[in-house]
Amino acid sequence: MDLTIRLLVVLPLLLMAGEPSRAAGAAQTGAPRVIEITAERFQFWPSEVVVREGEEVELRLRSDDTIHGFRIIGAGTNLQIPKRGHGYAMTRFTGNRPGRYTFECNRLCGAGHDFMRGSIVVRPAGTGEVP
Amino acid sequence: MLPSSTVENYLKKIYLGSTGAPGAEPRLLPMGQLAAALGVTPGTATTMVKTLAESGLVNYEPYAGVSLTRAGRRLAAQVLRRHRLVELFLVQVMGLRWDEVHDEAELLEHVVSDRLIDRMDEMLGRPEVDPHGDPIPDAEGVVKKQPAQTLLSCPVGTRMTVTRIIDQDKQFLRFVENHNLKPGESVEVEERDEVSDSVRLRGKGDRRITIGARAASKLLVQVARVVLLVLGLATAARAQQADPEAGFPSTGPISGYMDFHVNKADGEASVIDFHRFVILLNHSFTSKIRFVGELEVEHAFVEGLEESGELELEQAYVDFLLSRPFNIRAGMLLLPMGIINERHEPPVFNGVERPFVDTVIIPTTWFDAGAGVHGEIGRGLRYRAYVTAPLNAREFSADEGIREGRQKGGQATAASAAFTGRAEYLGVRGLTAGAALWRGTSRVTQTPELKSSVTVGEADARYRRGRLELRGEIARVDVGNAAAVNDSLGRAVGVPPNIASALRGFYGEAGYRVWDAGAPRDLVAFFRYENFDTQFRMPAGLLPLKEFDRDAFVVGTTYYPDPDVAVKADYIYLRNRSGLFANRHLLNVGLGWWF
Repeated sequence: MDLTIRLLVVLPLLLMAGEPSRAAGAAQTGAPRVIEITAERFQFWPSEVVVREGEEVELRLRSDDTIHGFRIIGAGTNLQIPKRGHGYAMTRFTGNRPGRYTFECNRLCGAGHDFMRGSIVVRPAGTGEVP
Repeated sequence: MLPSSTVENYLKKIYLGSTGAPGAEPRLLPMGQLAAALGVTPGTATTMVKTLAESGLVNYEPYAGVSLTRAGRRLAAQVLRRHRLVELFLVQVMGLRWDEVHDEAELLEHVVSDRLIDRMDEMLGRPEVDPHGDPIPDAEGVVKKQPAQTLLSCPVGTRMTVTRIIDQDKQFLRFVENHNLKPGESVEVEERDEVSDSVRLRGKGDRRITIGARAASKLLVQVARVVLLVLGLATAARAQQADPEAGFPSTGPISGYMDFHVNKADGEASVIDFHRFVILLNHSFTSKIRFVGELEVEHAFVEGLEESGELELEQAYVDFLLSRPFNIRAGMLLLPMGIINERHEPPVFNGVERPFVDTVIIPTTWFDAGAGVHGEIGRGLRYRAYVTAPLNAREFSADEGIREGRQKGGQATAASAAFTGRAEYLGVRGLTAGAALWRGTSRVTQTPELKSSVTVGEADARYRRGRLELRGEIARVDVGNAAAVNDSLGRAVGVPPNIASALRGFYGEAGYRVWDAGAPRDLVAFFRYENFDTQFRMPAGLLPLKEFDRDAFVVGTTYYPDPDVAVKADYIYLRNRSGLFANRHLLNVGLGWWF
C-alpha cells in the first residue's frame, strides 16, 4: 500500500485510541461535582457532560483563547467565559429532568462559531454510573 | 390588598437598614435611623411602623427599633427585585447611564407588574446582580450571599475583582467610573496607610490611585480568577422555564482579523505586505437561523483590472440549527479540509505564513458556494458534509497544483457537483483529530468532452497538553485523466503545463509555551518540518520536476501580548530536490489579531 494511503488510515485510528473524555469529579463530600470545561474556537472539551437526575454540578468554564459565551439552551444560563489567563467563569446546573440540554457559545468568536456546541445529558436516576 | 408605595418604601428601608453590611446578621433598625432614611419625622415613622406591626409585616420594639417579619421581608425583597431589575434593564436595554437609573427605578419599582418584571428577567438572562453589583432577589425573594470583603478588609497585594458599589450617590458612582472601579474591574490594594486613612490601589493598566478609607469601604471585592462573572447565573428551579428565543433577533458584534507581514528572502529585497484585512458580520434571525459573512481584502489594494489585491467574499452562509446531530448550512462555505482552512486566523497557528502543505497541497483558503449538513453525533464525534461547485482543472499548474482551480463561488462552472466530508473526534481533552475527503469532477473541454476527476484526502490532528502543542497533517491530491488534461491544455498554449497525477504533502509541528502565565507573558517557541511535492506522481510520458519536491524547516516564535493578538517571527529553510535550483532562506515577521 502506498505510504500516503497507509498514513491516512493509521493516523486517525491511533489518535482515536486515547482515553474517553472524563469530567473532573468531586468525591462524595456533599459539595457539587466540579466539571472543568475548556472552550476554544470552535469547540468545547468535553463536548458532552453526563449528570444524574437531580444531581447538582458546578461547571467551571475556562477559555484557551478569546472570550466565549456559554448558554445552556432552555436553562437560562448565560455567561461569558473570560479570555485565556483571566480566570474562569462558574455556574451550577441541576439535572432536574432527564434529557439532553444543548450548550453553545453565544458570543461570536469567529466564522466557525456555530460549530461551538455541546450537550449535558441528564440520565434518569438508577440507570447506572456517570463518568 | 396591594401594599401602597409608602408601605413598600418603609419595608424596603427597614430591609436595607436592618440587613447592614453584606454577610452580617439582620439587626433591629433604630427608629431614628429609619426616619432619617425616609426623610420623615421620628413621630411619623413610629405611627407608620405601628400600623405595619398590626398588619404582621414588622416587629416593633419600643425604644429598641424595628425588624421585618417573614411576610415583611418577602414583600421588601419583591420591591428590591423590581428596583434592581428595572435598573439593569434601563442600563443594558435602554442605554441609560448607571448613575442615573436609581431615581427612575425608585418610581418604577412601585408600578411595574410581576408579569413585566418576569419578562425583563428573562430578556436579561436571569441576572443575579444589577449594574451596581447589588444582588437581585429571585422570584421567591431569595438573595444570593455575597462576599463581605471591601477594599479596606481584603488582602494586600492580591488581585481582586470589584463586585459591588454600596453607595449609589451619583457623584460617587461617577468617581468610581472615572477611576475604572466599576463591578467586574480588576484592582489590587498595594498599601493601606492608617496615618492618612487612605488606600493605594493598582487598577486597570497598572494605574495607581489613592482613595480615602471611606470610599474604599464602599467597594466590595472578591479574589479575582475565582468567579469572574455571575451575571445570568441560573438556579435549577427556574432553569427549565427559560425562553430559548430571548435575545433574538440579534446582530453583531462586528468581528474580524488582520494579518500583516514583512518577508525577506535571501538575495531579494524585503517585502512589506498588509496581507489580509477581514470583517466578519453576523445576524441571528432566531436562535436557530443564523447568518455569518466574511469579507476579505488581500494585499490592501484593489483597483480595476490590476492584480495588486483581492476582494473576496470568503464566507457568507445561513445556518439552520435544527438539532444536535443534524443542521443545514448553505451559501459560501469554507471547506473542512485540514487544520488551517477553517481556522486560518493568525493567533491560532504558528508561523508568519500558513504552512506550505495548507497552501500548496490543500489550497487554503478554500471556499466555494454550496450547501450541506453538519452536526454532532455524540462521544466527541462531529461531522460536516457539503456539496459545492467543483474545481476548474483548466487552471491547474505544475508549481501550485490545484490552487488556481478554485472557483470561489463566482459564476462557477459546475457541470457536476463536488462532495466534501469530514469526520472529527474531540473525545480527549486537548485533542482534535479529523480526516476529510473532497471529490469532484471538472470539465476540461466540451468538444471532445474531457473530464478530470479530482480527489483530495487528508488526515490531521492537533493536541495540547500543558505547555506542549503538537500538530500533524498529511494530504494527497489525485488528478484523474492527468495525461489527457496535459495534452489538451498543451495544445491550447503550446507547452504541456506538467500537471501531476498526484500531489502530496505532510508536516509535523511541536510548539512549547515558554511561559504559561497568560498574557502578557505568553510566548510560544515552535519547530515545523514540512514536505510537499506538487509532482509526486506524473502521468505516463511526463517526468516529475524535482524542484517541486520541497522540504521546509521552520523555526520561530509567537508572542501573545493578549490572547487575540499575535506577534510572530520565524526563519524558514526551503530545500528542493532538483540540484539545479538554489535552496532558499526566508525570514518573516508578522503581526495579527482576531477578535
